[in-house]
Amino acid sequence: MSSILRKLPTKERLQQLKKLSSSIFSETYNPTCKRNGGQILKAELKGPEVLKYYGENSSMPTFKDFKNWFPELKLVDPRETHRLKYIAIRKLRNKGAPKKKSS
Amino acid sequence: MVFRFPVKFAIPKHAHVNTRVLRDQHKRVQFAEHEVTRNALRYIARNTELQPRVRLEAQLQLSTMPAYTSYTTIKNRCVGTGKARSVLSDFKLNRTDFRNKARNGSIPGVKVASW
Repeated sequence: MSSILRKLPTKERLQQLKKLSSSIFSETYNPTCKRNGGQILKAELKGPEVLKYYGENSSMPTFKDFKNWFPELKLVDPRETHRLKYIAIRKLRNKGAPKKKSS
Repeated sequence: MVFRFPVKFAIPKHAHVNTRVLRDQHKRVQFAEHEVTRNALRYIARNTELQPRVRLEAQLQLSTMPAYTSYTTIKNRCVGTGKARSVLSDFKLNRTDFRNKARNGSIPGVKVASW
């Protein structure tokens, strides 16, 4: 029983073991924690997720799409008509949007 | 009509669109396009096992890349109003727009807290 405790593996042997283990399980082995930029290569690409933030245009059709698909139905958007109406009323009262500066 | 950004992209249809949202979308598109290049340069610049001259060149090239390709310039704006401040990430909404929509019942599972 005491013979097992007397012959513990040396530090070098333990290091070799860890190195072999990481190569078997395809893990990185960096005992001195050297800065080698491995975390940049390991990280997944964020591009696709970042692009989806404002929603995918193809996920749902909008009213404009329906208008283009079925012109014979002569669809009318009530919100848009109301918006155009109140803008026209404001213009009559001389309260329309100011002219855009051209310079 | 001239497109106001160097590369054309689809304008978001299911979010409130204003100039700032368009600029943010442009940055997102450009970031996604250049992400691999930027990551490669970042890796070279940060790897201490490479020669210092190589690292310096990579860092210089990274700094000359346009600012709209960097991830840090991207901001998660409110999808309902286009505001950039007080945006709750769970709902992608500004605090006021979240409150209005929640009280209206437009956000499933959200009700006025009381316990």
